This record gives sequence, C-alpha cells and structure tokens, in this order.
Amino acid sequence: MTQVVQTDTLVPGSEHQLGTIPVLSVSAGNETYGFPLPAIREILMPPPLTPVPRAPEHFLGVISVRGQVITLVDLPKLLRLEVHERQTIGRVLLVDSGEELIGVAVDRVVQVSQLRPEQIEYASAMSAELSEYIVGVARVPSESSTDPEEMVILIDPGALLGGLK
Amino acid sequence: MSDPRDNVQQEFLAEAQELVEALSRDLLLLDEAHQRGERVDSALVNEIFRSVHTLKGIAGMFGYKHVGTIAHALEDLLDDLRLGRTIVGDPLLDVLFDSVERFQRLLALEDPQAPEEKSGVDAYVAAVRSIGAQPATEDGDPLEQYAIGSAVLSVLTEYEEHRLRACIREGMKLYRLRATFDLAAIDDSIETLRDVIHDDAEIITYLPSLEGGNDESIELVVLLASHVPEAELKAYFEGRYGTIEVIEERAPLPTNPPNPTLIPPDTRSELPPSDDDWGQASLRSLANSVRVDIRKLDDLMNVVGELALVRGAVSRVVESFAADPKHRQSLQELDRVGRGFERQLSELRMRILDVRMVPLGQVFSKFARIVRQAAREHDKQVRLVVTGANTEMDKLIVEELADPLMHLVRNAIDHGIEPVDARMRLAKPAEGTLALNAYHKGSNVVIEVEDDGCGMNAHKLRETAVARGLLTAEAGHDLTRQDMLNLVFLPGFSTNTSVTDMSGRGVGMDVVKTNILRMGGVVSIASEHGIGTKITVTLPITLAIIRALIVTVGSRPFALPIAAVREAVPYSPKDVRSIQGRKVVTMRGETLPICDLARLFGLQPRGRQAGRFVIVCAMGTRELGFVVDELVGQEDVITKSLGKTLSSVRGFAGAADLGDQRLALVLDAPALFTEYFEGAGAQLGAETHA
Amino acid sequence: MAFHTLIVDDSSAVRAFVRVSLEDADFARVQEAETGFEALQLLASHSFDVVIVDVNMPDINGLELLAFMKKSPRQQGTCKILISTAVDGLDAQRGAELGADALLEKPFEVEELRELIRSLLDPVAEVSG
Repeated sequence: MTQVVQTDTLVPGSEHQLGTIPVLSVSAGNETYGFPLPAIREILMPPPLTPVPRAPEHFLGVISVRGQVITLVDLPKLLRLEVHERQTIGRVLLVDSGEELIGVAVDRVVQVSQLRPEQIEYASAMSAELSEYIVGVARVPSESSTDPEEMVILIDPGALLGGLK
Repeated sequence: MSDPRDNVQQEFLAEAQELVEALSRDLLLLDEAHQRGERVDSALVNEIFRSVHTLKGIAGMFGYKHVGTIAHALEDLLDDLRLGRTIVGDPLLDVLFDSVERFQRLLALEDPQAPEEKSGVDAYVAAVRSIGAQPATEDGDPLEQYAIGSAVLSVLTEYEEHRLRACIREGMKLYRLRATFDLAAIDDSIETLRDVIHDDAEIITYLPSLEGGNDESIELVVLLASHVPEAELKAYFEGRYGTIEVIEERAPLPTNPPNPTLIPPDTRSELPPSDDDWGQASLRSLANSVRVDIRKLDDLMNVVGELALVRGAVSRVVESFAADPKHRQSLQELDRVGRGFERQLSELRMRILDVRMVPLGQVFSKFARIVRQAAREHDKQVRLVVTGANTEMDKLIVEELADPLMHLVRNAIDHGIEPVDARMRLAKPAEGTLALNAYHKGSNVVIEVEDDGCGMNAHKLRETAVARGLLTAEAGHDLTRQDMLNLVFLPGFSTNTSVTDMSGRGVGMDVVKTNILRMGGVVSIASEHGIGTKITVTLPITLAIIRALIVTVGSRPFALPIAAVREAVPYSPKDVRSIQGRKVVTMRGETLPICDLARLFGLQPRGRQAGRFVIVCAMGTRELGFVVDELVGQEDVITKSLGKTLSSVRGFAGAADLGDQRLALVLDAPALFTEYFEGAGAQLGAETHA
Repeated sequence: MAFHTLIVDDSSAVRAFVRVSLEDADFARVQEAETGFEALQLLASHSFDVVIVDVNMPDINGLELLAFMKKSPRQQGTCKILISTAVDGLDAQRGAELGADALLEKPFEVEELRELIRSLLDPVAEVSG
C-alpha cells in the first residue's frame, strides 16, 4: 500500500531530508524514468549529435560538451521497453556513471522528488526478467490531470555503464 | 606606484627555470666528455659559466638571496675553470650537479629569503669553495708578441683575453676577418659563419667596425684563432666573406709545440647516440620555444569557443534577413565575411592547440641526469639511448607522464641493470643500456622503457606474491608466464624500501599502472630472465593532435589520419570491376580493392556517383581504397576517445572536434583494414552501390 | 617629451625589469635588444636618447658596442650606461675609457636607474627644450 507523499514537506534542492532519496524524474517515450539527483551533473539543451555507424541501436551517437566527447543513449531502447523512433530530443542529461559521464536523451524533465525508501519497490522483489539497470519503481504524485500518481522507473547509473559495454 | 618587480616576477622565474635547465643539460655534456676522457670544450664551460652568471645577476635583482649566494659561489668556481685555474674532475662535477636540485628547490620557495635555508646554503657554499684552484703556470704573456693593437685589446672582456692567450699558447695563429653583413639578416649570417668555421677555428669576438657598411649593412671584424694554414683560410674566405688577414707577430715566437689534440669536434651532438640525435634537436627546439603559461592557453580556448557562438549567432541573424530580397547583396557580402571569419577562427583554434604540444624529449631530457645519478649511486654503468624524442603530445599529458616514467627508469637502474662485475661475469658489456623509445602506432602513442639487465624471473614473482599473501598458492598454479610477470602490478607487491623517488615517496608498479590508467592508457611488461625487461606504455591520442583528411560519407563528416593516406583520386563507377566477389578499380596498371564506406556504415551516399572520391590508404604492404562522397580538406584535429561504452564499435579511433560542437568520427585505418581483409565486413564494404 | 631608450641585455628578466621601471610618462619609449647584433640593427635605424648596455654578452659584448657607438655619428648625443656586476672591475674600467657616461652596478633598484637617467638627461632636455 502506498502512502501519499505530503508535497508541502518537500524542500526543493534539499538532499538531506532525513531518510529520503532525491530523484530527478524525466519522461522519455511513454515512460517516466528517475535518476538519483546527485548523479546528474548537468541538464543541457541538445547539442549537435554525431551518430556512430554500426553502434548498437540504443546509442544515438556522440555529442561534444565543452570539448569533452560524450556518448548519448536512448533509454527506452536500452531497456528494450519501446521500439518506436524518437522524434526529437528535448533535453540531454549528463549522468555520472561512476567512471564516465553518459548522456541520456529525454523528452522533458518532469520534477525532483524526495522519495522515502518505502515508496520504492525494489527490482529484486519483482520479476527477474527486468533489466539489470533498473533499481526498482516508485510511485510519485503526478502533475497530470488524469492520474493522481505516476510510476517512475528508477535507474542505477553505475549499472548503466556496465550494461552499455 | 607598485614595485615593478612584482609584475616581472613571473618573467624572472621563467628565465631562472630555463637557466637551470640549460645548466643541467650542459653539465651532462661536460660529464659525458669527461667520462670519455676528452679534452674540455672551452665553449661549453663558458656556456655553463654564463648560465650561472646570468642567474646570479637576476637573482640579485629580484631578491632571491639564497639562489644568488649559491650562484655566486658557483660562478667563482666556474670562472676558475674557464680561465684555466682549475680542471674538471669528479668532485667538481658532483658539486655542480648538486646545484641543479638546490636551485630548483630554492626557486620554488614561497619566501625566497627564507632564513631556515641559510645553513644548508652555507654548507653547500663551503663545499663549493673547498674545490681548490690550482696555481696557474705563467710563462710570460703571449699577447705581447702579437701586433693586436690596443684598440682591440681595450674592448675585450677578461674572458675573451684569456681565450686569446690560450689559443696563442696552443700555437694557433690569429686572424682578422673583415666581412660585411646585411643588418636585416645578420642573425642567420652569423649562425652560418659559426657553423662553417667551428671545426677549424675559434672565434674570439666580433668587433663592429664603422668602415664599410651603410644604413642597411655593417662591417664586422671577426677575431679568429686557428691551426689551419693561412693559405687555406684565405682561399676559403676571400671573396666569399670578405678579406682575411693575419695578425702579425712582432718577433719570432719561441716555438710552443701545438697541443696534440685539436679543439674536439662539437661535443654537443654526442649525447646518447640515437637515430634522431635528440640532444642536438631538443637543444635547438628549446631555443626557439616561447614560454607559455598553460592556463592562459585554456583561457584563450574559452574565448575561441565564445567566438564560435558569436559566429553562430551572426549566421542566424543573417538567415532571418535572407527572406527579404532587398537585402540580398548585403547578405552575400556578409556571408563572405562570415566565412572568412570562420576560417580565421579555425586557424586560431588550431594554432592554440598546437602551442600545447610539446615533444616528449622534454621529459626524456630530465632522465639523463637521473640515470647518471642513479648509476653512480649503485656503482653501475648505464648508457641512455633515446629515440622518438620528437614525438609530440599535449603538454599536460607529458607532464603527467613524467612521474610514472621516472619510476620506471629508476626501477630499471635500481633493479634491472646489474653491477659491472656481475655483467662481465655474464659476458654482457660492462655498460648497461637503458632505452627510451616513443612512437605513434595507429591511434596511440607508445612509449617503451627497455633495459638489458637481469630481467625478471616469472616463477620467483609468483613465489613472492604468494608469500606476501597477494595470491593463494592454488590460484598461483593457474597462471601463465605473462600472468606471473603481471604480478608486479599488484598493490603491495614492491617493498617501499627498495624503490624510492626523488621526493622520498615509496613507489610501486601498481602506482605507475594506476597513473597510466587514469590517463586512459595501458601499461604492459615483457621480460626475459637474464636478458632484460621492457615496459610498454600505450596512451590513446586523447589530446594528441594529428593531421587528418576530412571527408564526408552520407553527408556526415569523418576524419582519416593522414599518416595512412597515400592519395585521393576521383571515383568513376565505370572503372569498377569485380574480382572474386570484391570490387576493385585499376590504378596505374595495378588493382586496388575498394571499400565503400557509405555501404559499410549503412549510410545513404550522396546522389551522384561521379563526384565521389577514392582515398587510397596503405598499411604495411596492403593498399585499400575507401570510397567517400566528398573531400572537405585537411585539418589538424584532436582525437578524443569515444569512451568505454562505444569502444567496441569497429572502425573508429575516436571523435574530433571540428569546432562549434560539431564532431567528426575519426576512422581507425588499421582496424578497417583488418576488418576488410580478414573479417566479415569484407563482404559488406566490398560491394559498392551500383 | 618621451625619451627613447634602448636596453641591451641577454637576460629577458632584466630587460623586462628595466622596461617596467622606465615606462612612465618620460620614458615611454623603451626598446629591447637581446644581443649585440640586434642592437646594431636598431642603432642603424633609430636614434636613442639613452642606451643601457650590459657588459657581459656573448659575441658582441657591451664594450664593443660602446666602442662602436663612440665612433658612430648617429649616436653622438646618446647617453650610454654600462651595466656590470662590479664597478671597479676590469670590464667596467674599460667601459669608462670607451665613453660610457655612467656605470650601473648590478643589482640595482628601480629608483637608482630612474635617478641616474634623469640626471644624465636633464642637461640635454634643457638644451633642446
């Protein structure tokens, strides 16, 4: 049973509210994904993209950010959740995977939430077929008029790098 | 008003640093010559004197008291040396070498007058002064016998007078060469004259004369001393340079037998023989260099980046006007100007990038001193051979490399090369060889540190690892020989006591490996017990600039390193034939296999087939033509790594920044060759679009 | 009135120091030469009010430059200052004999240099006033 998160207790930008995990949620394709906020280095307007021929499909290519060459990834394709072609990239997240910065192409940034651990359903508790990049899922209050809540798929940035090799 | 000295402080430090480095290099040459038992090159000693003398002067001006004190003591010692009052010996050389580190330390201090340094400085000065001068053997002043003229004598410095006397004592004759030089080109002309003369004569001084010459030229009287017969000198110089006349002796000379060894050939080029004479090359290149603060370069690059954005903004404004026909002509003009701007911007970018490149020789030259020192410490004889010192890399990487490479060099001397008697017993030459090699390989720079010492015993390494608890005995059994060698890279493998570096830190191969990995490189070891060891460091050319041919394939830009490219020829579809399922073209009677990159990469080639190009590349004995859509041009580019995630994609060495955030993928020619001739890609690329 | 100065010294730090010391209103024009050869080039095409020369330079030393300037018609009115490390040394003595107007001993202070030049030039300024 999920609890309703009291939004008025959330302080924007605070990372140390007792016991909560700050998460940035973004939408890509039909899904909403969440990243631990400390792992997000930057959010950029999409720079020119250079596709890399013969690279696996989930790689959109490489981009140049202040002289650094960064790989750009399409999450839905990586997670094999969707197959339809991406139209345009709304924003690029620079995610620190622990060893290297990786660019993640998203449609838009949704919000920052402070999640309490009990809001998260960890992947281990779920079906084993789920991708190894996924930490779990969480339900957060949504801005949408149709749903009071939405499901956010939580991504493990460290696993992201491992899986991409 | 602020003290002008503050502004100029940086200038002082830079010049002081250069002087100390020059001192270090020259001391090595002096030492080399001394070890070989050669006569001392007076020009070299004078150079060393000058470095110290200048250092003393500027240290005094800028308040670096301790540096000045040491320099003063050394100056006196060196003056004795150059004026013949003392001779070169090991104690003298040791004390001179010691000064280099002292200077570097003192120059790095926050407080240049730090009182706590005084005792160390005083002790050192005492050591310097204890190297006594020998009483000079005076046998009359030879100058009196020559009709040199007081006008000339009065403008000679004490040192020049001394050289004059020394030459006369050796039985050389004195000459005056009168030559007129073009003022605008005088530096080059003097350089040429020096090169021409240097083996045969010593130039005492140049006297500017008011005779001859005009506003654009000047006559110089060059005072020379030489053993070469007068007739020969006359034959060479007259007409070519001007007139040459002997300076007559006043009275018959008591014959001083000429010193049996002539002035030795310029010993500067004799530092470690190698195939590219790095001693000479690096000295020269450093003389042409300009000191640059690398932070300023970064700032400059930021400005260039901003300029690129401005250019982009201007283009957008232009576009917004484009719709209106009334503005067409102005717009064309603006467009032209804009393209000119773009060219200049690109040029600027490349030039700034180029300034960051330094030859590896810069780092290698520091090692010569360390090798000498380490060899002396352990009573071993080591010869340092360097190749590829001209290989250039980004200055920051080179600086990062200095430490790990130094550890490898010290290891090779401390543990690799055996003491003289051990080597002789093994029928090895008494002198061990330590080789430093650097070269480009594909998209990497390879640096090797190789010694012909005792090598490593793989099995012993395994025992040690197990004994230290780094490895279980069972795991040890599964190891291949190479695995056993790689054990040295394990943390905790080397004992700190046996390997130390200049700053006293204990260091192990694991630290070296970590540092190299951090730079994106790899390090590997090869060794044969009793024969030697070779450590190979491979660094991706991240931040290394290469010249590349920019082409488009499927309207996207790609960069092909020029090193692989032989030529580019127009592609005509009608020349394409098929041999055993592969497409080829005939060029100058030979068959050239071709690989259509558009096809290989799954891209749509440009509309027309004609108008495409074939870039003919060669790797070893094989040739392959890559078919591309357009030739854009040549550019110097920095290849940046694609990152771990994309490294498995075949055919790309990295990505190059073309400016304004546009990237061109850099093709990995060796990989493409391998793929074509040996892999599955052979089928794909071998067919071209019809 | 801006005096035109030439500093000839093979040390870039010293040249920079002199330049910075002198670049105020009166001495705004300071040119540098690293070698005697460069100095000859500049002397052929310019007239200087002050020439500061270091005695110890390779090839064409300061003394030779002084001798040249003494005889050169163009440099007759030029004030010549010789920098040396010991004003009572042999080299400095020869400098005096060759017409140096003043000897400056290294190391010197900013004010020393400025004072020296002013005292040498004032008579000149009055005459051409």
